[in-house]
Amino acid sequence: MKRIDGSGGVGTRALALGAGLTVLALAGCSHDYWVRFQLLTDAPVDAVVDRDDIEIPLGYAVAVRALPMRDDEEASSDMKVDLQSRRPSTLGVDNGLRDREFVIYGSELGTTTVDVYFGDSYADEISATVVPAASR
Amino acid sequence: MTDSRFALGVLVTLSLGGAGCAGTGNDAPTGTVGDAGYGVFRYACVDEGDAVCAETAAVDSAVTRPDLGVDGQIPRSIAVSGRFDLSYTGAVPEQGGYSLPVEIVPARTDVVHTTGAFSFSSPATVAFLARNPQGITVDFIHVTASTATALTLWSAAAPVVGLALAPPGAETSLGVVPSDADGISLGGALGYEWTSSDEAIVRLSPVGSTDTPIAGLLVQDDEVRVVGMAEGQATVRVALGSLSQEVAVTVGAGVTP
Repeated sequence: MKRIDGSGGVGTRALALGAGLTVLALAGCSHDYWVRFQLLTDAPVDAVVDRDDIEIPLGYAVAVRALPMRDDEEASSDMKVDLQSRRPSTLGVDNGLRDREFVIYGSELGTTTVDVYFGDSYADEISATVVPAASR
Repeated sequence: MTDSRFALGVLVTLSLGGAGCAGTGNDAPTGTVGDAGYGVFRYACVDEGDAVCAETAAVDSAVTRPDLGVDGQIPRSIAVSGRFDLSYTGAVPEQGGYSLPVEIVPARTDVVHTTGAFSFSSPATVAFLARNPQGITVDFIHVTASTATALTLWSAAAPVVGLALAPPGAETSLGVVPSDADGISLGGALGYEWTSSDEAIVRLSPVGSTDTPIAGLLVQDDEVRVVGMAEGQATVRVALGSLSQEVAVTVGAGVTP
């Protein structure tokens, strides 16, 4: 699990992280929790959506399915996944029509972080950048 | 889009604005399938001046339709400042109790104006999201806008630089289609201004009108009715900002262009 940075909302995220870690500790294990993305729509060639990095061209949107992973396996088939952009005015993350489906879109140039929750527990964070759209 | 997605649930039709001219009254979903494949986005004209919604046969639709679309399809590109509307028809699975209506929201509000209709303030490609009040984005589609760099005048389904009207009292219609630097015909309602250099020879009025045109009438459609008033020559000009195009009109007995 990555370290939480010191930007806004630390208290809430720290509490969530603590709760998440508590759950993991009670389970008596040290697993790597992360999210695997499956692209559901065609994406611009300069778009990146993976566990480490999200890059979306300004104005574009992609639909993804987010699968909760524990180590190299899907954590649970019925575990709820939530993605939250810390700066929705830069990078929007809307829930999609079905569970675990999300629409990620670039609203303004800039950087932010997407927080990942499995169930009610904070699981991960992903750096996100809205990049200039290439001329098409 | 898969048939099963349509079969999953109830059909809902949701619109941001007023009724458009394209593809109304058809039971089958027409338009352009959303990127997520759950439904169909439809383009609609909101004002006069949109080449997508031609009222006459002045423009050869076989030439322009690949760019402008048919039956509510999203045009390949829309002119910057051109006004248009979008609606969404989708199959919403009956599993989440999603409330209606869905709103069409552009991913970028800095370049897409939403007052009464959509319009781009600069060239861009922007995703338009079909989103319900709970923030669930059902589907989306990308719309591209580019700057109009040329105007083409059409009459009788052919590009035209000269017209002949015989005898005086004869009439025809002209249409104008904007295109970008790549030659792509552009959608979106634009504020054209049609003028005649000599209203004693040629007068202009809105298409569909039947009365003798009055002098000084400003027509702001993408199409115009051209009526020969007396023998002679005049120039009909259409202007869009700094762009303009002209056609020479000769009125007389037995004239040829």
